[in-house]
Amino acid sequence: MLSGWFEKKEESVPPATLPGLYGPKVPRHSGGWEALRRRLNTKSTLQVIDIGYTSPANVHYLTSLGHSVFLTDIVRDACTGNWQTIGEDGNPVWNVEGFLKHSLDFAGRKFDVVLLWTTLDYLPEAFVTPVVARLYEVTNPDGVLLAFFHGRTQGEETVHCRFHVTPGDEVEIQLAQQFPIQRAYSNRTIERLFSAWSGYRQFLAKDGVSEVIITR
Amino acid sequence: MAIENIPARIGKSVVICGEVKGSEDLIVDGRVEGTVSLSDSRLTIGPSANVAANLTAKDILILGQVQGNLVASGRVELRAGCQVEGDIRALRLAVEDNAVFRGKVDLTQAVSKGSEAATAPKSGGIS
Repeated sequence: MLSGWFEKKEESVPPATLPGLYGPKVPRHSGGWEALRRRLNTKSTLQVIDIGYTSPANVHYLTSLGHSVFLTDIVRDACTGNWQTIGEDGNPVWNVEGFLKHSLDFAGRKFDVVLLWTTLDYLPEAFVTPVVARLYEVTNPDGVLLAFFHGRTQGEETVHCRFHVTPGDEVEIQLAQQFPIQRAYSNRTIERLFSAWSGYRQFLAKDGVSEVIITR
Repeated sequence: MAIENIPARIGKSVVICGEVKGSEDLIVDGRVEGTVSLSDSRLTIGPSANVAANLTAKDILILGQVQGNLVASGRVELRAGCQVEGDIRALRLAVEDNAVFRGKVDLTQAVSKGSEAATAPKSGGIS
């Protein structure tokens, strides 16, 4: 599926250096989204964070169900912001607090659903654990987080994409501004990263990207 | 004369610090820092505008850059290429692809008329 997409992409999409692209949206079945969608449909006035490049489809869908949505693109913030300095010992020092304050300061708001997508695959290493901890802080008990994880760091499916939800059991993926993938996750790594969270449900996929719904 | 229907305009080179209030349509192409509050009118933030202000109007159309909260008793439109950082409360919201937005969208709470009274539906709509 992805091969077909990228063949088409080469013909029709401008270089992936711009923040937003008008490339094709490719539908992908998502067991995680299917499960989360049921929750979004049965509960009202949920507070949702959608992390990634602004998706009109996501805003439309979530607000049409009566939910509030908070949007932030932390991969872009992390990769384009000036968060790294060189310490006295010559090693890089990351301004983690500054980044969290800039990108994940919700002014005391709490959320019921976090759409994290593949964000953790593209963040600098220094930000991964603090971001997960911050999301834990801002998620209500019994709140859920949907995340996708690449199983490898090579291959065309590792390009940075944006995700658009649909009213069905698919999400649409679309090429986004390109940032290099930083890591791949094993199930064990994911469990360890979210060890403070209470529940973990994994969904199998055919394209080397695993989907997980994690419960606060 | 038709000139009465032409919206007021804050030009590209104009910088305003403080409060802008009115009851007629307004186009901002320059820089505003503070607040812009229009009753029952349409506010357009042009593509060259750079606004650091809370915006209140009946309808708000954004093509440029805004840092601040948007409150509309009618509709907010975010056009392609715009960049908005702040919260949005409105009855209706339209977001074009390649509009960049960071903040909270809330179409579920009452948005006051003239920013203080009209009632929003329980679930907001987007078009």
